[in-house]
Amino acid sequence: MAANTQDFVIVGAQDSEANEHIAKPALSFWQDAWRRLKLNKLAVISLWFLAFILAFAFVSNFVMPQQQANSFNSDKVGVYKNLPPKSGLPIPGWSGQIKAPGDTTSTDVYASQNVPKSEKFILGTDNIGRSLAKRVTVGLRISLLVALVATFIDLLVGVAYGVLSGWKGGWVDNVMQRIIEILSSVPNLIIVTMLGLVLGGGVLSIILAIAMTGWLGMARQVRNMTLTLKERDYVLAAKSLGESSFKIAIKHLIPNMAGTIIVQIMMTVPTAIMFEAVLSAINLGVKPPTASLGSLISDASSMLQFYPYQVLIPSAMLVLVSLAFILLGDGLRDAFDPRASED
Amino acid sequence: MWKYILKRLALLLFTLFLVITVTFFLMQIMPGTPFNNPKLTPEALAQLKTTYGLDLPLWQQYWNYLVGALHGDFGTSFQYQNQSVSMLIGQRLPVSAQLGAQALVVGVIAGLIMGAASARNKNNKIDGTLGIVSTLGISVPSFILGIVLVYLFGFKWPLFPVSGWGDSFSQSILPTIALAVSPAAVTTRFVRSEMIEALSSDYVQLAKAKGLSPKEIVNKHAYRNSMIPVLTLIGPMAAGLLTGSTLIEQIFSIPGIGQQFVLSIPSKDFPVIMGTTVVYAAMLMVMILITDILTAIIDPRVRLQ
Repeated sequence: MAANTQDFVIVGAQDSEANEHIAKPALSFWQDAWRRLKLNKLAVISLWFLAFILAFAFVSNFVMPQQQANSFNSDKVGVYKNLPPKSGLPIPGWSGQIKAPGDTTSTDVYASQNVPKSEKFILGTDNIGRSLAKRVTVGLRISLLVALVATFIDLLVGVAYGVLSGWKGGWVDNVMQRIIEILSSVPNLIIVTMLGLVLGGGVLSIILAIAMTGWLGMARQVRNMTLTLKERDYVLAAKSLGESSFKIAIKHLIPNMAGTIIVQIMMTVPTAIMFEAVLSAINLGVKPPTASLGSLISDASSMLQFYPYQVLIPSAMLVLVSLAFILLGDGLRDAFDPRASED
Repeated sequence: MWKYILKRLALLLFTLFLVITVTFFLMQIMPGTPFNNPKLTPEALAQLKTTYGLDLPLWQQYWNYLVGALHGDFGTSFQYQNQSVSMLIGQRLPVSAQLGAQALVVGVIAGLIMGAASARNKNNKIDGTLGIVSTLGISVPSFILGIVLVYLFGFKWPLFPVSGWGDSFSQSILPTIALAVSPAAVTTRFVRSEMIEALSSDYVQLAKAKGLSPKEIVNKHAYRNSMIPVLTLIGPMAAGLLTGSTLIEQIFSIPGIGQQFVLSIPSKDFPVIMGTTVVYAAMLMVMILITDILTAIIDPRVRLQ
């Protein structure tokens, strides 16, 4: 019996005096969601990881400008090229040694290429001697920029489209839904490639190309939510008090579907990151010397057999960021809608 | 039912027409030309343009293309002389189709098994592990997985060949796995939630009350009903496979249409790009249509919506 009282805690009422009250203090939707999210360890770790990555990407703007990561010493390419990661500690695989294919022992590349003793590159260097740590830092920045801006456009377009379609109903809704149906039956790859070709590469064109395909999911979700919410009494009340449709959408509809929208955003960002990498792999990505995670992967992938770290490090970065977004999205979905995950 | 199918077919044809039209006009405003060799004399250029019908007025080019596309003729490739686009695609399509089908079958079957295992062991270690595996599966893009597989099983422990197609079945193992992981992960997550819902439904309660063993309940009642909604996933999965397979074909040097598509982008081979686009769109739409019709046949409630 005593054990059971420990399991049963009145939420938000920690001290014993508050426990005497019959009603628990009211938690707002957001407080309640936050309380549930905190119980999900993976989601919390992801949240902190993403906060760290975003802060890192932002701060690195001032510490490490593009040019610094792009520049290389053309006289010393032979000295600095393709150096494996070296931590300075005797960790296997992280000590500046690499085993060439066919060899049985690993060679210390730093010694054989006569790199000055004091210099070490924790993530190694690329084929013209640029520090991979710097390249990955700026690449991560570009990839995040592309993904976040594209997602933001998706958010604006998708929410506006979805609310309009659901709110108007009738033939407007019908036409708008057919448009979505048609667009979503064309493979995203095709739309992204076509736009990439027409707009001619560069960061802005990638953002637009990715945004063009991403808003469909958001629009569909928001429309479904709008259809449900517009039947609610508070909307009827607002309507009968003479509130304009626009204000109803801003003040009543959108705040009430914020949970759905946030979860959708979390799922859009990894897709955008992935499509950026796909575009890079088919030569429609950022233009060199600009680096993105995708361009780093595809540039180095031809030398995978010899310098695997050049591919695997940016790949791992891309996967970690995507994974964090998805885990956080999963956690948020459960936190916003506990009924969906409980049994 | 027939009315539903006809309606969907009409929409499909209309969409295909739109895709052809939009791609055609996008290609017109595309920067760059395939004939930018400075050695070409104006006469030779004019000759080339006549050969490819590029000197005709735009509306006539469009009309010719549309009529040709209806007959399965997408013009002649710019980069390979005297190779018609439909022939190029025709040679490569079976390869891509086989790869895609293998990946889809492997992925869905693996997903069905893992999803059911996960739901039956809800909230214990098996479920937790499968949950982590499937979340990883959806966050790793297939081309990164392909690269990692090449590195691990091609170079580090050379167990499988990492390039080519058609010489032996083992060549298709790594690309199939790389492509199958994402469908498997999606199916796992989906089947798990469907099955958990099914296990708490009234008919399962009834089966329990009748005294059926847990095994029978799962196999005879819960599993069947949670498999139907998986059908609706096949459309989006096919779209994902299209994207994935272009890069996977590139990584494993598989002579499929994806590889062709990627190769024709830098060389501005517009007829090939357009032809592939139309074929891709048609394939995806037919896949979605078939799954929708199947779902409507199996689950009559869908038809009412």
